Amino acid sequence: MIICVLGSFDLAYSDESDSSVFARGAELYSYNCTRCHNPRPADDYTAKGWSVVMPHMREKAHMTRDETIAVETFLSSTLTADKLIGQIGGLSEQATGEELIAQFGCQGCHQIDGAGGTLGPILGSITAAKGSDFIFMKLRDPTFNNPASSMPKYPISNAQIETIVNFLTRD
Amino acid sequence: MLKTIFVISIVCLPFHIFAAESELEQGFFTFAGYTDLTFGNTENASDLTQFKIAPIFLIQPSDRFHIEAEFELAANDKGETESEIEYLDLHYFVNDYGTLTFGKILLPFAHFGPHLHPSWINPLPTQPGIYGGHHGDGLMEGLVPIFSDVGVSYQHVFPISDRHRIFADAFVVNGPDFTTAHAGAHHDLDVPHPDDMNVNLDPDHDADAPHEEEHEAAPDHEEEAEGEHLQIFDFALPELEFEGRLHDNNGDKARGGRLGYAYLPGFELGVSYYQGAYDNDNKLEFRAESVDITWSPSSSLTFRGEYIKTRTDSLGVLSDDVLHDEDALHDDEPEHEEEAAHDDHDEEEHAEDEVHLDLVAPTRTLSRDGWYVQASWRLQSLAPSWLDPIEIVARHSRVNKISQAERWSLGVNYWLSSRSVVKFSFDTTKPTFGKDVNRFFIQISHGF
Repeated sequence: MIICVLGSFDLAYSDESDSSVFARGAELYSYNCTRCHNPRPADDYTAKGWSVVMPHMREKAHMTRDETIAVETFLSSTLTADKLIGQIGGLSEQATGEELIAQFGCQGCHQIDGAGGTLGPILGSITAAKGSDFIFMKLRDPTFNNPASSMPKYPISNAQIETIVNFLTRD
Repeated sequence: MLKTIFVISIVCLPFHIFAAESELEQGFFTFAGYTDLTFGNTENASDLTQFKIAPIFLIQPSDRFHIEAEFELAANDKGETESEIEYLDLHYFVNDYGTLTFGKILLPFAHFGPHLHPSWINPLPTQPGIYGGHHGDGLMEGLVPIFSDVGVSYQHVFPISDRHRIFADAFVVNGPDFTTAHAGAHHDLDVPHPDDMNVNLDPDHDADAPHEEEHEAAPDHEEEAEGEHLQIFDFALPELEFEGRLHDNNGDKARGGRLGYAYLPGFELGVSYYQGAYDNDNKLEFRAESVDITWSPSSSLTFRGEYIKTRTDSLGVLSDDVLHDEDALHDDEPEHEEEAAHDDHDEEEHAEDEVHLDLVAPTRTLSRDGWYVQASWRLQSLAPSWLDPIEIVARHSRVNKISQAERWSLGVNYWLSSRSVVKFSFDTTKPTFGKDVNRFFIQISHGF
């Protein structure tokens, strides 16, 4: 009876198809994992593997259920160990750079125009400092310059990378 | 009425427990963990000091239940295999914010033990000095070798926003036991157990005895500082075990918890408490308090620190001088022992006559404290890019009062991936008595 009563304080389901859950998950991933360790790349586990790992981390990191589901949504939407580029749909080739950045949750870890996380470098600054070729390479293979990088490998086409690079170098 | 509620609860329980919480793809089993290989060099030897693999098995029977078990397999210096269950517990996610955990649990005390001890997370090959020789990297006598124990814990999260949260952990566990109750670090003699001596451990006497004095330092002969009389009791720091046994040696469960505040991702502050009796009669307690802090002003720079204070009740044992000089025992019984044993003067005199047969063993509370501070700096913010995988770490640990010592550690790490690292470290340990010890370590660690 006690368990039933305590459990009745549950919230409603999060809608995992909501893109804001994905972006929130990216942000929570950068906020919580780095408290103790390097964030693990999404391709360390399969999507099903992450669903078993995340409850373990929920208890360790003192996360709520809603936050756990958001992070799991983010991770399972990127290239987990059982997915390859082309197996994740829903991202339009016609999307603008701003839309792609929002969709991929880049601001979970990077600041753009003063807003976003601090796990990674400020995107405007890094683009100005290292050039558009660096950004292109980084999006294709996040570990090409730093094997310890925890940036997820996104299911992204060359055309979409060009769109993002053009957006970041718009000035 | 109660019967009806009970029946309804029983019927509803499975629906509650096995209700799906997420529409995401759900798995049942996976495993994670870490492994490390450590080479150590001191002035006398160069050895492979540790080879360890610690697989963590994770099982998710339902969205509300989760089982986790970490095993440690390590080779000791004789080439034998040592195995240990670091933790094996079952989480029940009571609601969105609360988690009940049963089994052999990682104790939510301070921050390093429950969160930072795996070698792929700990940026140095050694533990902070305040945690002593856990897993064999000692030299400093730790304050709290508490990592896990058998019992139950409850955790509750109070989210203020995605970045702000307050969280509380409380636990009840079997608690400490003692090996040889009074063989402390500074007592390398074979000190007899109180049960083997002519000492009265009458609990009625003990309750009224003026034994709760708190003593910060514990010289080898504690009483010597107190008077001109030959003092007859020594107080040594008991060697306590926190092995997470299934059997509790007494009826007193250790209890405590941690209250934390986090402003993510860069700041976390926690206070912890632990209290539990370690003797068979629930008379002697070990208590510990801790404050821990983490501050990351940027993603490449992290500062951590913990302060721990412990208070351990120590039962007096007859000093070696007295054991070899019975006349002295009769002539020089300390005043406060007389008060402890008897209220009126006549009885005190009688007690003096009978002291070697009917003497209340006094207890004292021995205090220790210590801390560590640590800074780690990833060079990824610097050009050129070949510096990106390099991390520099510095740590200072200090234990005060009993077995006083301090250690300076400096390390350079090369990250092969986000979960694989090669660590090079140098540390120097300076005990108050004895010569300094310098050590050099190379450790390869991989999280999987």
